[in-house]
Parts: sequence; structure tokens; C-alpha cells
Amino acid sequence: MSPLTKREREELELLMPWYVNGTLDRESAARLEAALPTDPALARSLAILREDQEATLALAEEDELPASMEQRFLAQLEATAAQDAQTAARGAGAQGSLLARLGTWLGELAAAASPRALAVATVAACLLVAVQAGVIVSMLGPSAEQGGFSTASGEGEQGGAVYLVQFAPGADLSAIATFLDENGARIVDGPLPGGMFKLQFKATDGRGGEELSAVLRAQPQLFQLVLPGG
Amino acid sequence: MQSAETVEDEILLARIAGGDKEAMHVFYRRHRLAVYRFVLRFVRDEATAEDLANDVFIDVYRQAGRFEGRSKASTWLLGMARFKALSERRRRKDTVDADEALNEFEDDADTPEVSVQKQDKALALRRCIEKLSPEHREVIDLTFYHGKSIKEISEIAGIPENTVKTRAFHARRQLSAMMEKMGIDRGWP
Repeated sequence: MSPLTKREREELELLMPWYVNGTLDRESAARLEAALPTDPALARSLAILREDQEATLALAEEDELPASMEQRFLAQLEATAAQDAQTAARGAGAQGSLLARLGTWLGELAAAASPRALAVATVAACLLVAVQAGVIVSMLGPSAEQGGFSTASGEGEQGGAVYLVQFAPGADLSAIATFLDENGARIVDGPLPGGMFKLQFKATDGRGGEELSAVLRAQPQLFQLVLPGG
Repeated sequence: MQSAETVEDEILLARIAGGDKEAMHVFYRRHRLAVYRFVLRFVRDEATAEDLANDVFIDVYRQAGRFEGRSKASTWLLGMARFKALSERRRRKDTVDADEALNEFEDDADTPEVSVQKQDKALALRRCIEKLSPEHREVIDLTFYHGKSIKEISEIAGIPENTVKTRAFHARRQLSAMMEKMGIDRGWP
């Protein structure tokens, strides 16, 4: 005769499947183990549950994975990753976040380029920019060469002075962002050929061209090349 | 205390959240069989189950950052799989309730195939489990195949813990009724 009340027995009966799969809490498992030797019906129920478990596992084993499943998943994963990257790039472009593009560019450069490759890229950029700057100066005429730096640096969309800059290898993106913020400047284009970026100060900036140029050149850890931009 | 498997899953998910495709592949290989078998129970079609299971893992790739570690990764995964499988089943309007399953069972109870099964109790029991309603089959599978606790099944199926317990009980009763119709008395309930 079971010492359990009807209610206690029903409660244990409900919990038994999880005793069989080993996830029942210790207290309930102990109550059940104490009741089993004196309750043949409960013991019978447990034996049936073990049969159910065995049959369920055997049934599951019958369902094998389709042969093509993994290959199809890997192809789907590659396509998804490419699609996500494209979407992210478009999103960045739509926001006009050139700073984000700069970050990506700096990251890729640091990851991919050897010091030698960086040096070669820098020389190539210098040559390219020298030509570009020469064209700008020649277009602007003698006044530009006579210290009219704000004129030489050109007038951007906002009317502020524009410079072509090449960021120093390893330049920290957050330091660049801080510099731009503190000086009321922003990146308006890039990366241009040679890894140059176009940087523009606010039209309301009271500093002259030479002063602004000096501000940029005073940050060699951020800018390795500063030229008037058009 | 978390098992080593749980910790490994969490590390993999953190790497997946960072876009690590290799980690995604490892996670996939660990769980693909369980997810495939789980969704197959709902849709009862291998090709559909394959597509759904793969889609679940693509969702994992995109949503790994949302995993908060409040439950096991496998529980989170099965919850996602269930949602997808049910959506597909609703789309196909392929619902079967317990009575229908029993009727279907009765319809073919006298076929030669069933007569053969009568000779093998274990085989008959498997046949009966296959005939359970999807809701009953789900709780039986989650308990005995996936090894989930009452609380975890409650999370996966989105039902109260007491419903998990009573649903399992009714599934067992249903099994006994089916077996009895095959001439096998289980002596329970």
C-alpha cells in the first residue's frame, strides 16, 4: 500500500518523465525515489516511461540528415554574409558617414599592408598629390603662390577651407574624430586615389589658411601629408 | 553551474555575433541534427525541414548578438526553430489535432502492416508515437530526445510549466489508448 495521498501521487506521476530524462530537481527526484519501492503502480508507470523514451530515441535515429544540407547551408551563409556586408556598406554611404569609411579604410590598410607596401603607397600618393596640387596652383594663378592659402585651399560646399590630407599609418580613428570635432572640420570626400581624403573647415572659422595648415601639420600622428585641396 | 557544452555554445555565439563564419559552422555542426529532427516533426516533409533548419541557422548568424544567455543556446535555438516551423505549418494549413490523429490511426488499424506491428511491441510503440498530435509529439520529443527540463520546454513552446506537465501526461494516455487499439495493454493508466 502506497503511503502517498492521491494528490501526492498525481503530482509525482506528472513529474516522472523528467525523472527519466534526468532533469528533475533533486527534491522531487528524492520524493519519487522514496515512493517507488512501496508503490507498484508508480513503478509500472516508470517502466512504461522508459519504454517511451527508448522508442522516441529510436524514432529520432531513423531521421538522418539530408546529404546536401550542410553544403547548402554553407552556400547560404556565404551569400548572407556578402549580402549583409553590401547592405552595411550601402547604409554607410547613405548616411554620408565618411568618417566610417575612413575607419574601414584605415582598418583594411593596417590589416592588409606590410610596412613596405605602406611606404610604397605613401610615395605613390605623394607623387599623385604633387601633380594634383600643381594643377590647382597653376589654375589659381600667381595670387595663390603668394601666400593666398585660403584661396588656394579652395571653397567647398560650405565655403570653408579645404585640404587634401593623407592620414598617418596607424592613426587612431577616435583621435581623428576628436580633432575634427575640436576644429569644426569634417571629411567631405575620400578615399581618393592615393588614399587621400578631402577635409573641410567651417566657413565661419576665423583662422587663416596658413594657420589652418599649421594646425593640420602639427598633428603628424594623424596626418602624414597635408596639401591644399580643391 | 553551466556545463562545458553550454559555455562552448555561448563562446561560439559571441564569435558569431562578431561575424565569425567559422564559429557559425562549428555551431551548425553541433546542433543541426537536433534542429532538423525537431522541425521535421512539425512539417513532416524532409525537404521543407531541411530548408527550415538551415534558415534557423541563418537567423542565428544574423541574431547571435541578441542571445542573452538567460537560457541554454540549444533552448534558444529550438524556440527559434519552433516559431519557424509553426509559421510554415500555418502557411500550409497542415494542422492535426489529437482526435484527428486518433481517427487516422483507427482508419488503418486493420491493415496488414499493423498486424505485423502487433508482433513487435517496440515497433508498435514507435508507430503510435508517430501518430501523436504535433503538440503531444513535441513535448515527448523535447523531453526524451532533446533532454529538456520542464522549464526549458515551457520556454521553447511558450506555455506554462503546468501545461507542459499535463500535456506530457495526456500524450502518454494517448499512447496507451493507441496501443490498446492495437491489442497491447500497457497496464497504465
